[in-house]
Amino acid sequence: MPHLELSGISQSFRRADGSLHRVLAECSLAIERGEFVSIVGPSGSGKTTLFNVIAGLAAPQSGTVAIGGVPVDGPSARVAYMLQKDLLMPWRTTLENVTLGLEIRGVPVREARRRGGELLERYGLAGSEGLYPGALSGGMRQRAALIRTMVLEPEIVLLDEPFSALDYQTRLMLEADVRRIIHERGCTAILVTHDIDEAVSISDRVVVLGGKPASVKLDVQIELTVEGTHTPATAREAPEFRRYHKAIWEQLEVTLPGAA
Amino acid sequence: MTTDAKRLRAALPRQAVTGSPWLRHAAVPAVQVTIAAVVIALWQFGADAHLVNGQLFGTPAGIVAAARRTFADGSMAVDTTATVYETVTGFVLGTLLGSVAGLMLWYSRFVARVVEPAAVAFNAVPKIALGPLIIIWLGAGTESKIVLAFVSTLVVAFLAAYGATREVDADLVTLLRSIGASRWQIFRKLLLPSAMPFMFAAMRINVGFALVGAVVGEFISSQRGVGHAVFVAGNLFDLNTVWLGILELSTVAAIMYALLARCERLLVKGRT
Repeated sequence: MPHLELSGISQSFRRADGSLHRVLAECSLAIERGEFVSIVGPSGSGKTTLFNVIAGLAAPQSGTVAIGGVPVDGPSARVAYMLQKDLLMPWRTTLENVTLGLEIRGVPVREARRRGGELLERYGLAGSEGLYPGALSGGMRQRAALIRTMVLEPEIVLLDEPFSALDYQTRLMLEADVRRIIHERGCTAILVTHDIDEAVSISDRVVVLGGKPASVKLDVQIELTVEGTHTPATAREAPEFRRYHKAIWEQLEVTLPGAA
Repeated sequence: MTTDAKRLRAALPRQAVTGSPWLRHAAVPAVQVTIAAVVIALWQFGADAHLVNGQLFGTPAGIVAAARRTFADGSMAVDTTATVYETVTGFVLGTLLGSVAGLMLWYSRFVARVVEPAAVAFNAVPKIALGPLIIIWLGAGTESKIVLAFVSTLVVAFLAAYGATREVDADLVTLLRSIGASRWQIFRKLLLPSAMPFMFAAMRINVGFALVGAVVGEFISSQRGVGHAVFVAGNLFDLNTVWLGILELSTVAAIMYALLARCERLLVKGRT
């Protein structure tokens, strides 16, 4: 049984002028446990809509979402997500931000602090427990947001362009961390992005959304021959990288200005 | 300030800031005290030399004499206590009720939309114009002053708290919801702390408004209070006592600001 199964998801919105805007049409997707899948598509292709449906933040107008065979009807403790905005609360220290979710779920403060502190230390934020987000760099903030997500021990992690606001070096570093941490914890991950390089270098599989309304246009397993450890940097050096990149690029129907 | 700006500043040559640390910290207050001393000395000298009409402007020595007199006969204590009591009670009630009501509107967009225009309209009314009404209804005692201070602060606190609920990051609300937070948890962990800076900004404005409410109430009709003392002294052309009252009111305001700043440091965290 797939870990996450979307079948026949359709979604549309009423525009301000009353006309109907169809975003997703009959989207189906099955994701296995432990898979790292990227969903790529041009802006407005319904990536975020799909994301919200999987997260249980929006109910699809038709179709079903099931996690481990159980239909999803609202935010689930088995799913956690991370966005482009780190959404750290400026009045909470790094540790307090990380333990926010545990606090809400009623985990005793001591226990929450212990678990949060452990992850902060393990994932390179030792020493910043007591700092407020204002004192952290963009990369550190996003790392704290990742730990806030992981400390909830989700089965499925949804990532909505979490790297897009970072500079290139920080981005590569954080991509490597996210990939490693998610594999280490045995989570299933879905990354929404418009960056093909990122998708190919980090994922086991890339799904391209396209068309209006959007549906799955390409679903490709990524198998890269990487020398040494697989990191987003080494993955980009793999001989197959360009081929995947090209295949995905062609599906995006990018019309460049000036091209007829 | 961004981390980049901080780094840039740290990289700049140190000599941009001149002098010893002691001098840098002491320079501003030293200049302030000197200017005040010079003005007071000139004022006194001018009055002594009959260049300034002491009857019309008062004199520093006269103000000191008035302070000694009112201190000795106990009226200074009675008047300031009365005014502080009215101001603080009105301020606290107005701030609490206004803030709570404003924050509660987060729970109901419908009620918010019903109430908002009325609040905005009431905010535009100079509250001291309500003074005569309130005094007729509540009498010349402390209650009417408290109510004037209260209505002067209520709407400011209300609109600030209500405005703050609308500034809350919608993505954070979604994040908390997705973790399974109840509405009350979202209120306590997100709404309240993120509204705090807005509410403190309102309180800083309200210190002044509460004082105006209390003092104007005392002007209209009262038996005690700094406003009462200033009003009576003004009618008697006792300008020194008027100045003394103004100084007392400034001191009260300054102390309230300082206390407020201390509370803000304790309650509003992580702002740089």
